[in-house]
Amino acid sequence: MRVFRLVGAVLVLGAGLFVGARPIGPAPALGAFLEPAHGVWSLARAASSAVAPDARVAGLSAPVEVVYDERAVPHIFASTEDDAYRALGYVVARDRLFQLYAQTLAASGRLTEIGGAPALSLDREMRHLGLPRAAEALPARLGDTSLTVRAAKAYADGVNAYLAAMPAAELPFEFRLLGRRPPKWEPVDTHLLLGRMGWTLANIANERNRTSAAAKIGVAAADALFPDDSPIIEPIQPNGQSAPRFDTSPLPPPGTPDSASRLLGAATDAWLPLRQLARADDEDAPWKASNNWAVMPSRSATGHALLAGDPHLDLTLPSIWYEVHLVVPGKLDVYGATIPGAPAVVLGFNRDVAWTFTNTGADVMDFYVEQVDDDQHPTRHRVDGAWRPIESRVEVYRGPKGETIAVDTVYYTYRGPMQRVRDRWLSLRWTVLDAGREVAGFIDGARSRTAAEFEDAMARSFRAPAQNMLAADRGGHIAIRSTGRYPIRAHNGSVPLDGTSSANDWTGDLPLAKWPQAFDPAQGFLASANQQPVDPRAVDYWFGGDYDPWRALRINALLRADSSVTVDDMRRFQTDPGSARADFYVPYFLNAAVRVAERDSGPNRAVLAQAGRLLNRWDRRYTMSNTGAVLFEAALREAALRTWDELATESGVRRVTPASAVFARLMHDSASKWWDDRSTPQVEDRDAILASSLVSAFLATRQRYGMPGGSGWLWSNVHRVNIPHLLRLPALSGVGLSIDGGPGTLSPIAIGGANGPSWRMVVELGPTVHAWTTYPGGQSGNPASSRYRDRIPQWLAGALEAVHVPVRPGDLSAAQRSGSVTLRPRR
Amino acid sequence: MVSLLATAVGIAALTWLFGWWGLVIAALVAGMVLHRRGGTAWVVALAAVVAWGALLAADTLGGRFPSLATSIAGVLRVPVVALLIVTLLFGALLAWSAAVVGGEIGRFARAKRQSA
Repeated sequence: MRVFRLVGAVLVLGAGLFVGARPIGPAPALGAFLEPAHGVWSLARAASSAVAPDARVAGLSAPVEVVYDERAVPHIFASTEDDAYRALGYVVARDRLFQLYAQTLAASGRLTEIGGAPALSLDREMRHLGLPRAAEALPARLGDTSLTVRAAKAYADGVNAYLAAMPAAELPFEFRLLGRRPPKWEPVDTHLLLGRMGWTLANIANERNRTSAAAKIGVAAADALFPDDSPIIEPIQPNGQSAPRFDTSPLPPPGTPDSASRLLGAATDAWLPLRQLARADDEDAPWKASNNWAVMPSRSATGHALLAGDPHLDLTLPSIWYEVHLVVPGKLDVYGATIPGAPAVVLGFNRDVAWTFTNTGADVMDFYVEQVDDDQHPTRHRVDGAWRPIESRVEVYRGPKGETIAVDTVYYTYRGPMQRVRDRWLSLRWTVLDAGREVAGFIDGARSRTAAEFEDAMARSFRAPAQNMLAADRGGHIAIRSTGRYPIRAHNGSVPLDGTSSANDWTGDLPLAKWPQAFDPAQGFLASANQQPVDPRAVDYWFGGDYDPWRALRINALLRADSSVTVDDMRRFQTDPGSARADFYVPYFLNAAVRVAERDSGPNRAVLAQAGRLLNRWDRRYTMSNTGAVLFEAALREAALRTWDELATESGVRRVTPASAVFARLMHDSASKWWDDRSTPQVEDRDAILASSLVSAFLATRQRYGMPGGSGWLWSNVHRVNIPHLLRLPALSGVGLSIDGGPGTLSPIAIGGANGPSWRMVVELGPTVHAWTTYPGGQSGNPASSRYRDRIPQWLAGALEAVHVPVRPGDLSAAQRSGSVTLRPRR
Repeated sequence: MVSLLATAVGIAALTWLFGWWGLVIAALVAGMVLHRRGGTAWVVALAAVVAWGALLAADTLGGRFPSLATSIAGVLRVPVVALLIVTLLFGALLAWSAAVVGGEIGRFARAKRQSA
């Protein structure tokens, strides 16, 4: 009996030790995971514990005091700027350690190390773009004494000091789940992160869509359906007009397929972000957005300049943003949002100036068809009759256990990385690969005292991705400039260029004076919503702007109508549920319903009348409780489907969809050939398509959501926001949340509900600066923390919280504090 | 009762110092020391439940335990109660088996001493 018991115990012990020490499948090693003193359960202690009073940080020149306010925002008081960035690294690591790690893996193309082979395509994307190579080369290119390199090193000191001192209980949940330890943070990780941001905001989708369409409908029609210049112009740089300008000229009809467009289509596909490729058919892809606007004292209720900003990005938990305040007496006093990994406040304000950005979307990527010496293993490429060397770099992709998953060789010409596309070698020239001083721009900009100083500071360092940088200052000045590098080339960059001729290379950069910009405009306000930065009639350079223009129209209309803007107006505008898009399209549907009902006595006449009445009653607002938006959206989608049937592939799938603004242009031409639905024997005009779409949408909506006006038709039932955890773990995500807003509104939610306003800020620049902020998430990355997602309810409600901007640590009362830490130099 | 509490304190202390290996070591030593008493392995298993339960209780003090438990259970797709039971059961099984093995080592050592 004893023998059996002993054998049983040995087996149980062996099994226990095995599952305790080794991960089995996706499950972590249970011993360290479940053990209550330092395992996953101890995260509850870490989530509620006060911040340790003392910590040692290498490189600090003097103690740094960090005070957390009641919103868990750290206020860092340091003696030098480098010390402030060290402390920033420390506090960000404490709250967002796994995010730092995950971002680095993603940016360096090493996601296979946690995700295995399924992540290989994402990793290849990064490495084939040359982003890791560019980041690694940056310190040597800029020099050790450069502001960017110095700040990145200081930041790394802070992150690594936290790692060295991190109590076992604070090891983030995700590391425990993956059975990994956080690696040391390297300065290059900062450079990687910013390169990836450049990729996130890169814009070549329109080129790709245009070439893809040209292969179906010919170049002329494709150029018109996917134009560089929007058919609706209300530019960022005011053009002296008080209303948008609509292009009402007819669209050229569908033409003959253009086979030459296939190469560019394949080239853009090769480099197009996987996320965009996957979403090419996504109806709501164009609703990715960002907004910013500012009003001068002459139009504000308080007589002070006001500024608002809400960049729209993929929403995640934890958020891409982290709120922080850095103070170095006499040198720096900046508050705002930093990206974990960046040693700077990216969007924010100091005591004199506030700033915020939207994406410009300029075309700063060019493709070159290269002639190489060896098709399989190229070592040289020909330019102007002479051979130039090709550099190669072996990329090894490791799995979770360090095993080799794949090995690639990436080749580089002097222009950039090459890819083999349709039996040709194409190289890529891209401003992001040559950039790298953006951190210096943020740091310099944070020291500025006027809006103009801010713009100039950014212009000195910031190259990519080009941003519409809006600033307002305490003197009442407002300014905006589309800051970035705009290459000068002898072509428009929309076709792959002959790489054997250096004449096709970039010959320089557009001078600052030619960038889109405006200072203290006569209209008293400035607004950007990713629309075309400058009226194309005024310039011969394309600065981007193929986003839909409806948000720009809406915010300009709101600002024009309000000559006494309050802080609360600024907040309300950020979540305004009105839609210039609906205002434009609804009358066309209503008129079509009337006209078709008059000329047609078919069986759907009564349905058309009912649908028309419902649409007519709709107030054109996308609030959660609205019951009209669902019908309009269905009708507009149906109309686009029927109209753009010429773009469908043989399998019936529509690969590309013209922008909503192009559809608006078509509305002016009621008899265009585009209206004809080729699947029916009769020839339809605009009214026929709009009326039949309205009927179909009504019937489908009734079938899906029940009787009109019922709770099934609530906008909140169809419009949801999802905020996924970085590892896409549903339990740690915010899923299916209801929120105001919709396509074309200032606060759209796009991309499967996971892209939207990632940060909201309103700043009043009076004698004392006041600011209000929020973002969809919370300061802590620890799911057990009350700060993990505490801001989501206020973000959903469109509310903002007033922020504290203490001059000294003592300015925060005990009630306004939630903790503190003193960082001391390492002895 | 005294041996139960003493073992629990030992397990808790060694767990705090060495993590889950501390439980195994403490249970092994307890099994060796207490092997002459009947039912030692079960006492050690119970002591492990008490020790880890106490450490879990300490984790709950800040008030964030329910939120954490819900999150972990959600990620692992198991009920919260099951997760807690698995935690305590894992500790108990390790402690029981280590105590049995420790008891046999203790007996073997004692026999060796006596034969010498």
